[in-house]
Formats: sequence, C-alpha cells, structure tokens
Amino acid sequence: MFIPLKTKIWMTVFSIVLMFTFFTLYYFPKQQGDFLLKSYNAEIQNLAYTVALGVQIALKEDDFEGVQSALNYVKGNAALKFISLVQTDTSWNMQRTKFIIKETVFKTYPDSIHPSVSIVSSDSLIVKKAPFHSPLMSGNVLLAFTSNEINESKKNIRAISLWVSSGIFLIGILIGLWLSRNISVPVIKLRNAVRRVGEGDLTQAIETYSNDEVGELSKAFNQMVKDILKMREELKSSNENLSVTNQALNNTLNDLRATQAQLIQSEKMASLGELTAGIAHEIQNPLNFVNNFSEVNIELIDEMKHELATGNEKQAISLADDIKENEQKILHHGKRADVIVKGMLQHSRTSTGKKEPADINTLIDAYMHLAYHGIRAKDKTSNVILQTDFDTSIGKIDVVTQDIGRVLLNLFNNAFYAVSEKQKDASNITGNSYEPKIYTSTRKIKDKIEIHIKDNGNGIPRKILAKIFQPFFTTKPSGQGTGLGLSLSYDIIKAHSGEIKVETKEGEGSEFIIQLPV
Amino acid sequence: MKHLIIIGLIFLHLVARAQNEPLVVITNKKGAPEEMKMTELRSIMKGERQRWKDGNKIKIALMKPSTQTGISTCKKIYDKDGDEVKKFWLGLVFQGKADAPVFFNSEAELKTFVSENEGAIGIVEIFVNTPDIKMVSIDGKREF
Repeated sequence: MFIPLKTKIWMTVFSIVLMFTFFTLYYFPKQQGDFLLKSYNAEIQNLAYTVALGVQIALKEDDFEGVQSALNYVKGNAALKFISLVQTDTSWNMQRTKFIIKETVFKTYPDSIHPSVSIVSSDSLIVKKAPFHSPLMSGNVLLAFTSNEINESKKNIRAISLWVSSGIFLIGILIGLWLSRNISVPVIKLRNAVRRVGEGDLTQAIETYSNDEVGELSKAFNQMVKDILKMREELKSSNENLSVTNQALNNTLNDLRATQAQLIQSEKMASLGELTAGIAHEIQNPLNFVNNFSEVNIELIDEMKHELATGNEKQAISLADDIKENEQKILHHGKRADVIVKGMLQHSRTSTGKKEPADINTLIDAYMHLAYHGIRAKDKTSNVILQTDFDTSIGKIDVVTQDIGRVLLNLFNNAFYAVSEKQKDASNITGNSYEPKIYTSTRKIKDKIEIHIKDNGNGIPRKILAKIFQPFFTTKPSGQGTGLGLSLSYDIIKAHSGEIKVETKEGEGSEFIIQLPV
Repeated sequence: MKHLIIIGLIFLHLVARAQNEPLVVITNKKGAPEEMKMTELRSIMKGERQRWKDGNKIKIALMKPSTQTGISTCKKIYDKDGDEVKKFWLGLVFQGKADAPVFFNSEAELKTFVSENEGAIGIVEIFVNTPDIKMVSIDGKREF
C-alpha cells in the first residue's frame, strides 16, 4: 500500500500528539486526582485520629476545654461536613451468653445533621473513623469532609490539562507543518523532478531549502541531472560513432556474406571440378560405345545392303538383328550419358531452398557413384568396394535436394579421399592386403531417418575431431580442399532440423551419421 | 461477701451524706448579680445562659464529680450522677453549644479560678470571703 511521506509525517505527529493528549487529558489528571484524593483521605484520617486522641486525653482528665480544643482543630475547616461522637456500649444479650456491641451516635456537630453510624464515604463525602477510649465513654470519632475541594482541584487540573493539550496540539500542528515544509515538500518536488527526468526532461533543478540531508539530496540530484546530461551528450556522441561503426560493420557483413556466397560457390565448383574428370570419363565411355556401335552398324548396314542385293535375304535379316541389338546398346549408353549430365546439372544448379519429396536412397546412390567416378578419374587404379544397405521403407522425405546432395557428395568425397590416402600408404608396405571399403546404409527409426556413411580409411585424429565442422578447417593439402565442406554440411543438416555426428577410430576409419526428421 | 456488703453500705452512706451537704454559689466580683433564683442558677449551670446581664461571659467552675462537693453539685443542680453530668457537658461542648466548664480537684483551686476570671461562677461547700469573690444568694438563701 502506498502511503505518501506527507501522510506518514502527519500520522507520526498526530500519534505523538494523541499520546501526549491522552497523557495530559486522561492519565495525568487521573493520576493527580487519585493522588489528591489519597492525600485528602489520609489527611482526614489523620485529623480523625488527632481529634480522637484529643477527646480521649481530655475525657480522661475531665478536661472539657481539651475536648473543645480538639474539636476546634477541625471545626474551622470549611470542608467539614460533620463530626460525630459514636458511643460504643457493650452489653450482654438476653440469654447472657455473649456480648452485644452497640454503636450509637452520641452527638453530632452541627446538630442539624443526623448521620447513620454506618455511613461510609461517597463521591461527595469522605468519612473517616478514629477510635477513642476513656472511662467515661468509648467509641469512635466520625469525621466527614466534603470532597468539593478535591473535585474543584480535579476540575482545575483538567482545565490546565486541556490548556496544555491544546498547546501540545498546536505545537504538534506547527511541528507537522515545519516537517512537511522541510521534508515532505522538498521530497515531493524531488520525486516530481525525478519523474520528469525519467521521462527525459533533463532541465530539472531543485531549489535547495535547507542545509541538511534533504538539502544535500537536492544538491546531489541537481549534480546527478548535470551528470546525466553530460553522459547523454557523451552517449549521443558515442552512438553517432557507433552508428558509423555499425554501418561499417554492416558493410563488412554484407561483404562477408558476398564472400561467403562466393566461397560456397567456389566450394561447389571445387567439388564439381573434382567430379569433372570422372563425369567426362563417364560420358566418354557411353559415347565410345555409341560411336563404336554406330560405326559397326554402318558396316553392318552396308553388308545388309550387299546381301539384299545378292538376294541373300536370310543373311540380311540376321544382320538387321545385329543392327537392332547394337542400336539398343547405343540407346542404353545414350541414356546413361543423359543421367550423368542431368546429375551434373542438378548439382551445379543454385539451390531454391524449397523442400520437396525425394527418394533419399536413390539420392544417396547417385551421389555415391558420382563421387566414385570422380575419384576413379583421378586415380585409375583406385578400386573401392561399395556396399549399401538401404531401408526401402523410408520412401520419400521432404528435403532440399540440392543441399542434401551437396552434403552427401561432401561426405562421399571425404570417404573416398580417406580410403584412397590409406591405399596409397598401404601400397608402400609389402604384403599389405588393404581393401578400401565404403559402407552406406539408411534406417528409419520412429519419426526420423538415419544415413550412415562409413569408411575404413585412416580415421580422424582425436585432437582435430572438435574442429572438423569449423569453417575453413581442412586436413587436405593446399588447393585440394576449401575447408568449407563439412561446415556447410553441418549448416544444411541443421537447417533441416537434423543432426550430423561422427564416430571415428584412428587408423580404422570414420562413420558419419546424419539424422533427418521424416 | 459480708465485708463487701459492709463496704457497699458505707459507700452508700457517704454518698447519701455527701449529696446532702449544703452548697454555696460563689462568683467573681464582676459580672454576677448578688442573688438569683435556683432556676436561674440551673439555667446558667446547664449552659443555657452564657452571659451575665452586664455582657460578661459566664465561666463555670465545678468540682470534679469524684469529689463530695462534685457529687452534691451533680445531684442538686443537674439531678444526675457524675458521669451523666460529664456526658451532658461533653454533648454541649461537642456541639459547640456552650463553653466547657472547668473541673477542679480542690475548692481552693476553684476559688482561685473564680477570683481570677471575670464572669466566673462556681459552687463550693465552704465560702471564705476574699476581695475578688462574692457569694450569691439562691432564692434568698446563702446555702442551698
């Protein structure tokens, strides 16, 4: 709950004033009244004892002047209501079995009053008894005083208390006003100024009222506003500088992005370059078939013409069958070349970034062979045993075909590079029976598929394992790798919400595992 | 028991004798008249009249009720015994209706008091003429 400072000050002042008022209006008068009443009671009791003693002595001596003197001791008191001599007589009861004590009022001054023996004090009357004993008479002096004087004194005390309370109340109001003026008002001004500063108005300045903590607070606030103003100017300047720097950084970023795009393209072209020879060989091979069979067919057609001219129809039909067989071979190799060219075109095409259903097994197989031909083109002696174990239940999944193809090509290129390097090492060792193998498999596991590309190359040293997905990191000799292959592969798989990881054992080979959501 | 009865009888005899002793009223030379009536005397002695005709305040001097004169005075003036007289005066004094009388053990002291206080009046058995005291006749008699 928000309670303003001004309210708190007034509440504090009023609480103190109320406490003082309670003290002066109730507690103090009550205490004083009780004290006066107690003193008055004691005084009257003493008077009663004194009179009783005087009466007792006087009666013993038959000194009635003494009685008179004792009585004069109280008779002059204006508050005296009455004084009585109560006579106590002791007598037997009717059966004379026990004493009966009987008290009677012997005389009362003034005689117009006839008090009861059993009279007690009341609000307006204070009655005290004091015993006396003499041969003539025994009993009590009954002394009654009015409490008017006490009540009057109480009234006076209450009146004084009221005046004092009024004074305290007035002083409280003045203190409250003073505190409000010296604490609350400056604090409220300070609060408002702080709010305006918070809203951005730095022209605020607080007038210093007093030379105390509040005054110091105002000075500190003014200084703070100046400092903020100064800082704001500095910040503005820094912001301008930062803006310039930011613009420069932006430009640099754009340059970097352009460079990255160029690098990606370079990497793509590099991988494509690696394939070019293989692809050329692949195209050359069917072309050779096409050319050779075309030449053979030309010869066979000439022979068929000759046979037809000689009327050897049977031989001509046999030649026609050979021609047809050759044509089928030409068609087969032509289609083979067509597939290779289409694969090249697909790889070299810029990715649209659009996912479309693709048969992942076919994609893997195509890129595996593409990479294999690439490695074979470089090294004719290279023979790698390719093993596949595809899960046919996978079917088609949504992927960006060009991007996933790039990943696969990178991984296969790396695998072929690894086994070919190990084969080179093995060829230098006599009697080594190393057989390069690349094992590729796919598995469907619940809502995802796994692609395993495993080679039995040299493996990846543990010390560089953490760096292989970093951009521009490569173990290949200069000019043979951009260091972007695995980095781009990692980004592509992440973009497909998948995972790529590697398991390797130095000297025994590596296995890359790709997980893609179905 | 026999002795007690004898002592009691002697005491009663003495009391009866004492009550019959003649008494004389004496006053200070100033204030009091030469003679007065018994009713007037009783009125003075009971505090009913407190001033002489000349305005002097009446001061009563009595022998203590324990004396023979005191016993006689109580009987003849107040028709009460000693304690009753004391209570009578205690009542008057207490209520402020009269000034207290002065009680004496000896007639000499009483006479001295009467001689020294204007307006004083006392009752004795034996009158001795002195310059400051005079005897007041009661109903025309010197003794009553």
